[in-house]
Amino acid sequence: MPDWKININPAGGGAAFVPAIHGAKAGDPLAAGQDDLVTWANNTKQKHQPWPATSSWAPLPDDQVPRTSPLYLSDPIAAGGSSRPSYDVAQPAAVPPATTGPAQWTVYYICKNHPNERGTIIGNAN
Amino acid sequence: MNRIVRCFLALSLLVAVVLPASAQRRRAAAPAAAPAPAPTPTPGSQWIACLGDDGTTVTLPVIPEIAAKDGKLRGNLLLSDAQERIAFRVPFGLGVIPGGSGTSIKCAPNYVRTFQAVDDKGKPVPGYPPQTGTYPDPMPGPTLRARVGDLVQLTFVNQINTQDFGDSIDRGEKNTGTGCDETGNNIYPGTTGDTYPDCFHGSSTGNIHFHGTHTNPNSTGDNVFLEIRPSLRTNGKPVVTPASVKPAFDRFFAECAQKLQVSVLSEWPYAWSDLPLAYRTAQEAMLKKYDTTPNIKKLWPVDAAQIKKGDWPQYYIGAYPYCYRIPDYVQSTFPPPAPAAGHHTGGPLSGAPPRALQMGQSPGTHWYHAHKHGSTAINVANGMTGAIIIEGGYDDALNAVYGTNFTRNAKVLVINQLGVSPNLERGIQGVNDKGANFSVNGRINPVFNMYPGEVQMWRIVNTSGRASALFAAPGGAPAGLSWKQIAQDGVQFNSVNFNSQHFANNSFLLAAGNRADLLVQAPANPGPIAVTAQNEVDPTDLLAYPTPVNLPLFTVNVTGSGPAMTLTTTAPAFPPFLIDIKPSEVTGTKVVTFASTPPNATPTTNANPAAQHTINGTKFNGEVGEVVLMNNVEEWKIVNQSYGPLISHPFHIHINPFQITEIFSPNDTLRTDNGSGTVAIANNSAVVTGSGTTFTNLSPGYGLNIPGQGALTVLSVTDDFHLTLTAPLTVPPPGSGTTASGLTYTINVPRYVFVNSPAPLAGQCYLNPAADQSTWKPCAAVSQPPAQNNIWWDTFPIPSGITVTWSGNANGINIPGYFKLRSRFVDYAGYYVIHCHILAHEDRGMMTVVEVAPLTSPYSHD
Repeated sequence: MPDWKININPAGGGAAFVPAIHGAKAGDPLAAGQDDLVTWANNTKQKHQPWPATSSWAPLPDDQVPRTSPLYLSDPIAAGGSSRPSYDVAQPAAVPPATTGPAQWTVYYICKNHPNERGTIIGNAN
Repeated sequence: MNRIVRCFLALSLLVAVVLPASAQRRRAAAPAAAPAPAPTPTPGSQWIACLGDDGTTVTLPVIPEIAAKDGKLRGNLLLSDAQERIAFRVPFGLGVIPGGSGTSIKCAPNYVRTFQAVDDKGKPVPGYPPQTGTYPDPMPGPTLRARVGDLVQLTFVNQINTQDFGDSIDRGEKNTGTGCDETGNNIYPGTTGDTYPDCFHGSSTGNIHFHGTHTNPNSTGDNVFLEIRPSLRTNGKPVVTPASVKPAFDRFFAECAQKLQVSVLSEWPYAWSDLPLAYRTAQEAMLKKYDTTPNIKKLWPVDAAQIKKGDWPQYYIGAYPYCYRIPDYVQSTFPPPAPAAGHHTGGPLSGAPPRALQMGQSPGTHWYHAHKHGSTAINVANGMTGAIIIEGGYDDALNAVYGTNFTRNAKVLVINQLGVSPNLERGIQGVNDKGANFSVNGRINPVFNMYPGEVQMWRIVNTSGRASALFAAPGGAPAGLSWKQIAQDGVQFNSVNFNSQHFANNSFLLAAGNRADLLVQAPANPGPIAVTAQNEVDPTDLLAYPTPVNLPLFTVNVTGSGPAMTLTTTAPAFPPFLIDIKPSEVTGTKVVTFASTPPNATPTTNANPAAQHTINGTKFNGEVGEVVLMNNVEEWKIVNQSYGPLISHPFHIHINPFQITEIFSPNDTLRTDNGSGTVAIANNSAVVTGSGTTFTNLSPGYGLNIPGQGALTVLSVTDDFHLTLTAPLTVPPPGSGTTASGLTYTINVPRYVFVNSPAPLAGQCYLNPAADQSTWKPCAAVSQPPAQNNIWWDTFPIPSGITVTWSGNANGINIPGYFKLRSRFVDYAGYYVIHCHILAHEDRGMMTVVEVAPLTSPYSHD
């Protein structure tokens, strides 16, 4: 099962999330499979922290995302550092009456320190 | 399940976009001829085309070499990282049947750590194949080629970009966190039971283990306690390069050559001060700079304390000079005559009596790999392995038969299970997975040519971090090919084994770490021939499969023409130091016990611990586990107390090879028979009902293989038509709900039985499970290897144990498997290790230190 990296690159006075895939651009989603691992590399001179958000880019409240949560993406990442812990791309559970989780789903995230910095991960069940 | 529920509670807020199925299509194949333009990512698909998906033939790449010249193996071995096209078997979770139906290979661009041969400017040496896709394909580390007697003088440079991976920079040294790598959602270390230092960590730190070498385990030799950090960087560029250390290392290598010239047993350097001043100054400065990183334990104080005590310091940054001799045994007899008084002492201790080299380096196929505790599994899976070819009389003899450079033109076949982070760090945790499919020289099922009738030498190295490759099973050499095995683990066979039918066209097991040399002859008729292997970590794995799967290793394409050749019967002269170890040589014995607990069985506060792996009841903690006096010969009983899941832990010892004198495998199968009649089964029931069956021919411990059900074990037999298994069937029979009937089956007839009635069959042995442990040993027929012509190994899978259950004793009794070895602990004092070569087990604690104590004290008694 693959591991993936998302770069946090300087962009327009701020930063942008760019999947480390040839040809990827700022804002492109990262495609990943269930239980793939994702990490972020901070290539800027500022601290960043990927943080889960709603589909309208509202950050989830801290109390909904403890460090042990499946939604927790990373600790704050120092300038020049890489993320910790690794993020395991988990398939959402089935929503009754469905008996299996979605074949594909999207994880929205922002930078907790810079909410205008946004990214997505598209998860695939297989 | 809790994880999924928790995931649902929160992620249900987020799941908003479900892309159409069409978006899941695979990315178009990249052109094969030249590097392709970067493709546009396809949202929803993480896969890219694999090499060969476009129909082109995947040829076996020739691995570039660093070859010795004028008695010195000089070169730059660069540890770096790259985003490569890595092949994965999908879907995950069917790993219990690698290559089984429903599985396929897909590729993804993933960052991996790599070994590469580079010149002094840091550029790859000639010989690397051109890149054919957007991403480079994996390539093992360069083959190191030297000759017995040569000096190894390698410049090791670590330029890993730590940003290409999650934060795993020897987190164990940091003051915060668990010290282990971490995966969110409490996955890792989570409830696995792993604690620092016996957990996955430190995967950007490098070193080299020269697996199979008989040499100095200290300082700049085969020293696996070294930790060489990645170079510091300025403006994103590594500051330590081959060029930056070249002046200092050139001086060091020159002095090292001079010091090691004194005697074949000379060792040098001894102390930090023996390293060049410029290197020491730079190392101290870089370590101190590294130590300014927030929230880390400082490294330089550790080195400084070791230096003050006269110990060899363990932490370095960016580069390290490996310098040691590959000893050449030049005597014509064994044991060697004692050197004349006044001859070199052969060691660092002044006043030590003269001594002679007891064992030379066996010429043959050896290998090297990363050996940083905590990250050997991921680093080896990334591809940080390579072959070491040590030439000698063995090569000379074969070249005399087949022509100059015959052995240099041998196919070097580096098998690996390439991949990235260990399964245990993922949500699925993969406890039943057997690892990735085998690759050969970084390719899945590559092709190479032989002409009709041609004889080639194949040097096969299983560098996999997990699985054994049961080579060419069942039945041995595939139709058309003929072969004879001529060496094991880099040690040539003597003339008897060289021409033994036992090693002709044989199937053989290459556990993780094993090597084999073959002489192979192509058939007269052209055409492709598939060479396959079965993936196992225990022989019982294969019994559990409905049909063992033959995974493709490579394909031989028989084509063209050339001069007539034959498989020689002339064995190379056998070095005298490889004479069998006699019982009378043994001066000490030990029992070393490897053990695995099953998942969920450890009585800890963890709710769901993973299997735990120990040696002599403890995990690796740096303490010395076994002490031997140098130049003594010992016999060790290597015990395996793993009863389920069954694991044949591959035992490996550094520096000295060993011979095996006894093997006890209580799970051995005598043969497999077709069952008479048919059987009916029901889900959640342990009862099997027969029709036309003769179950009274069976007894407890026999195995039943029912299609779709895997291997089952008989607990008791009621009559010819009813028996009970040791566990209820938990998988619904396919296609018919909860019952199935009319099923054919086969019977695994065990070598060992645990009831005396009916009487054991010919070839079977009765082990008294409850009353007489003295019966827990091999059948007489298999208890002893030949009195001579023994094989040398450095890695051997320890047979797993068995839990014997019977009616009225459901808990059963555990009978461990074992083998006995004899080894000469000769020539080199110091610290090295024994460990399981399933490297995730080693990382998680299944390793201990062996101390070989010097023969003399450092004091004079004049």
